[in-house]
Amino acid sequence: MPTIKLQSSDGEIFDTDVQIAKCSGTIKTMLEDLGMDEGDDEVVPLPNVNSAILRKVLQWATFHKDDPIPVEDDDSKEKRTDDISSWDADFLKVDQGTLFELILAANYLDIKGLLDVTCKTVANMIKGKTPEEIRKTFNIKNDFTPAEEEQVRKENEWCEEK
Amino acid sequence: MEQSSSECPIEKLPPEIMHSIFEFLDLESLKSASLTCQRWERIFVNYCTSRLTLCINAEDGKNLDSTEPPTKRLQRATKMLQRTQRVYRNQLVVLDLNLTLYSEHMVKDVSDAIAKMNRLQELRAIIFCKQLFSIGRDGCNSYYKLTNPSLHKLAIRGLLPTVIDCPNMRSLELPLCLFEKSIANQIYFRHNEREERYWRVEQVEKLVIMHLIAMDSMDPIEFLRQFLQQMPRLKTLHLDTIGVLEKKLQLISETCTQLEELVLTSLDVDDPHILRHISKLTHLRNIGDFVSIFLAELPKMPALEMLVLEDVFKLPDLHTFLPPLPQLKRLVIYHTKNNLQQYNNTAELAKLVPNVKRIEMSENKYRHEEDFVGNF
Repeated sequence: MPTIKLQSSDGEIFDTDVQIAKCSGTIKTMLEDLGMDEGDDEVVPLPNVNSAILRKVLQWATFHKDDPIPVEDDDSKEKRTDDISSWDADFLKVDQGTLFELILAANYLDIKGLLDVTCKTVANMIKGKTPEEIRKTFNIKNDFTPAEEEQVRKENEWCEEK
Repeated sequence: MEQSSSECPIEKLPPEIMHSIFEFLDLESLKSASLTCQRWERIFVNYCTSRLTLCINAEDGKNLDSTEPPTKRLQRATKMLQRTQRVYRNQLVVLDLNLTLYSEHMVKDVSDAIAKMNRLQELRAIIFCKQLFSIGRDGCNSYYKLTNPSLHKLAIRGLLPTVIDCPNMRSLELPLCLFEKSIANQIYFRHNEREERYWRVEQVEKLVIMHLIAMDSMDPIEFLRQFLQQMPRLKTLHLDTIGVLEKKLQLISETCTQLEELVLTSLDVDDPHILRHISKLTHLRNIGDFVSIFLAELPKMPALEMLVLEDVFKLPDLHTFLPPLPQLKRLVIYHTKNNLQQYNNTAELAKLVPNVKRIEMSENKYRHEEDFVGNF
């Protein structure tokens, strides 16, 4: 099976199946644009992803390599979050720092499936909570003055989906 | 997932990723998110443009126990609008008034509040009075004035305002009947702002009139003529009125020369040549189903892009009486439930309407009409 070499920001080399590496839109484009051929000994540098995160990303991509290509829906309504598979849910039982690193990596590497499931996971951490509970969950400091907070609250009252 | 007390790792996520996360949130959770901190609020403000609108209801529909009077509520909305930094989806701000007013003070308060809403885009004003206090014979109340700098779309039901002065108003929808006395006195069409009563309508491009009825002595044709003459830029006209007579169609064809879309509920005539009048409307792109019964008499309208037909009884022979419509892009046919016929002679039809990809058949006329007329 053809492989390519991916290099994380901290210099570690990952010998990776081409098919799995191509889950990433970014890597796929690089290979095509730069005319890198399979079997070449060239290394693809990924300066925005460290080895710990890259390992997780490749683990995810390996498990999902046969997934169908996700379809874009341009519906402006809320999207569902209750369809995370149990494998993904287990995979994403990580600390917040790692979760957000995974989101950034999925975004940089252009892996829609991983970006979706990680964003859903964060959305589920927000859903149904009061502002104070959200602050506590993410360790956010409330920097509103009472008057500012009141203005936001007032304006929100008239906000609707349409 | 406890964090140490100083770090806040979610701050690493850029706004565009926060937007992707917001996509998965329901409205209430989104509102909570906007209240957590200034950074999230700023991100939410930008997110509004893609998903949310501002909708001001004069009565709090969600909170039926609310004892807040509608005018108080409007004053609060006015204050909020003056301070808002947000830009909403389609920049749409909708005010939904559905009020029964008890006193002239309330009428005045509502008018004042609307005048101050300088980001208002759309207003649906359904106002009824509890008692017939000071309603003139013209159906107006002298305290009810609709003035607003930004308003684009106005729909009125019930009480009529004595003043409509919204320079950006492009779309106007009017209620059941206009009272003859108002028209007879020409109060609606004086452009002089020092007049106590005037409607400024010369900028209107779309007009919808529901059930046009002129009262008593007023000749409905004269009534309509006076009205339409005030709107030289009219591009869309919907008349939801039973039995449009030939005179009316003639009047519309002669007065509204810029018309691009014409929808009439029904024609009340036997003379098939009535449709010759609309051939004067050279800009016409969409016409409603009123032409169905006289389809064979449809004049050549080279600019027509959309044609709506209803219950075409001889559907299989459609090509034998449809004139060539070279620009037509949409052909919509409504049929009653048991009257569905398949149209098979597509090759013949295609010669007449080369740009129609497929015939859109539908049973559900009413839904379409709603879309056509607007959701009022």
